[in-house]
Parts: sequence; structure tokens; C-alpha cells
Amino acid sequence: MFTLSRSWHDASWLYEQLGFASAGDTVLLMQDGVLALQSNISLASFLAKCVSSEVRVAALANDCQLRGIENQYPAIELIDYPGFVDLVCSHDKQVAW
Amino acid sequence: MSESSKKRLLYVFTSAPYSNATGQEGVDAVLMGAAFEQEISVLFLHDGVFQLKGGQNNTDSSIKQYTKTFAALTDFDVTAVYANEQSLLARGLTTEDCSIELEMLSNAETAALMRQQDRVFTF
Repeated sequence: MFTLSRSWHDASWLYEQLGFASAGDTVLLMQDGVLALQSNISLASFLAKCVSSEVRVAALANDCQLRGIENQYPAIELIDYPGFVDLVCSHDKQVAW
Repeated sequence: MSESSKKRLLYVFTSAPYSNATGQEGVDAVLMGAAFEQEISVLFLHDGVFQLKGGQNNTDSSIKQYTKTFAALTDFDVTAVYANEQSLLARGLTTEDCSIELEMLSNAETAALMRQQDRVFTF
């Protein structure tokens, strides 16, 4: 499980790298990571890579709501705090970026 | 305070809200400058434009929505409020997405604004 808490505009290279996460992994956008949903740079190519390599992509709903960010990507699942806990429990480790 | 002893102070917001206290500290600094009747300008640059984004809602988070303070800046006679146009564009934002009224600056105008100041504070 990868958690990404930095803004796309600070770390766009990181999102490209995450396209190479492997099957069964989850990428969770949280804190400033959710700002990637609000950009004129599309996440489409990143998401296509994730879908084709069976990597699940999620964003923390509370962090989106607080920042006024709306999810425009059907491929990204919004999760709440209990969902976050489920993710942590279902993956053997977390890589925090 | 006499006009001659006034300083031209620019406060630049460059980071997004909530993940850290930078934005709140910037707001406090602006209000302090205003209390001392200085000539104040505020600029939103880079990820700082996310401070302005409308639709922020803290009902499900135990975090104070300090960004509401920006709407009250005019009450403190802080009327020179700007955003860098390129920063908004890069993030798919327009003036309609902003919660307050402000003036858009091109990169050249942003540079000119910085040159006019006695001091520039970045948050």
C-alpha cells in the first residue's frame, strides 16, 4: 500500500513512478495528495497504468471535502476513515510518500 | 502613523491549506501587519491558490476553516489581494472557483509586484 500525501505540483514525478506499483497494491491519495484531483494535468495516463497493472487507486474523502476538491475520476474510489483502516489491515506494509 | 514610516509589505501564500500550519501563520501575519497600519498586499502563488478554493467544508474534520478569514481581509483595510494567473491555470482553477474577489496577475506583473515592496514574506 502506498500513501501519497504530497501535492501533484510538488511531486508530479512521484505519480509517474507509482504507475509501476504491482498487482494487488493500493495507492491512497491523502492530505495534499488529493489535490491531484484538481489540476489541468490529467491523471488519466497514471490511472490507465494502475488499472492495467491491477493497482487500486483511492482517495480519502475527508481530505477532499475539507479542501473543496471533487473527484472527477470514476477509476478513483473515495474512502472514509473506516475504509482507510480496512486498507491498512489488508496490506502487509505501507509506503508513505 | 505618518505615510512616510509605512512599509510596503507583501505576504505570499505558496502552500496548500490544512496539511500544515503555514497558511494559518500567514493569515496571522497579515492581520498583524494590518493592525500596525502598514501598506499590505497579499499574493497567492503556486499551491497557495488552493487556499482560495471554494467548497471547502470542515464538517467532517476537526480542523478550523481558517481560510474564511481571507473574506474578511477588506474589513482590515487589506484590499490589494492578488493571485498568479498561471498558478490557477496549472491547477485547472478559474476566478469563479475562488472564494474571494481578487486581481489576477501575469508572471510579469507578479514580478513587478514583488519589486515594489519593502519586505516580502513567504508562507
